[in-house]
Amino acid sequence: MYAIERRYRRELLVSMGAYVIVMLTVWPLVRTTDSTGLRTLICAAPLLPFGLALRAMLRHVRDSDEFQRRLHLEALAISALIVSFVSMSAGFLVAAKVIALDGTVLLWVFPALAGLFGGLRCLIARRYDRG
Amino acid sequence: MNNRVRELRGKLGWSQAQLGDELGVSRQTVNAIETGKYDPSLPLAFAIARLFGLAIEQVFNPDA
Repeated sequence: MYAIERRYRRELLVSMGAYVIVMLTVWPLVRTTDSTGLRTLICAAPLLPFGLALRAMLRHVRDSDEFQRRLHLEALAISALIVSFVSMSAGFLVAAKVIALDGTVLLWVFPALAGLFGGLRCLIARRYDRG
Repeated sequence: MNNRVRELRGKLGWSQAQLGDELGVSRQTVNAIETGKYDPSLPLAFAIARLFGLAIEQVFNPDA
């Protein structure tokens, strides 16, 4: 396997593993903590491993070869457009009071973007891999 | 743009992954170049030609 891909998978596995541990051990404390300062610290806890995951993604894109960057860009552009369109649509519906959403919906922006990117990246790569 | 990368790699008995390692690119990138689905940048095209010990125009044919 391409060395950059190996490094990316290792870094992502470690950071997302740490994220899951924090979400299972630290995040539940937010329900029983009254202090705003402590709740802010609890909110910051998952952001540390999440930041490491973002760093892994950035290193992956930065160190990829020119063709892989092209695939990343195509997948990222399409996924960003889809997520933006859905966010705008939801925003208008909330503003018009057609649907009600609270702020926690923002937690879904990154998973939606990452999931779409991953799926589209595979589809686009398959298109080039044929032949 | 046509190229002789697959033919030249075959002469050396290398896999796409081996050629990718030599060039510092992925196997997928080598495959896309060989199938003509992706035209490499000038620096990568020069690196490919240099690796095979040929001039760039002996590996890549822009007229095809």
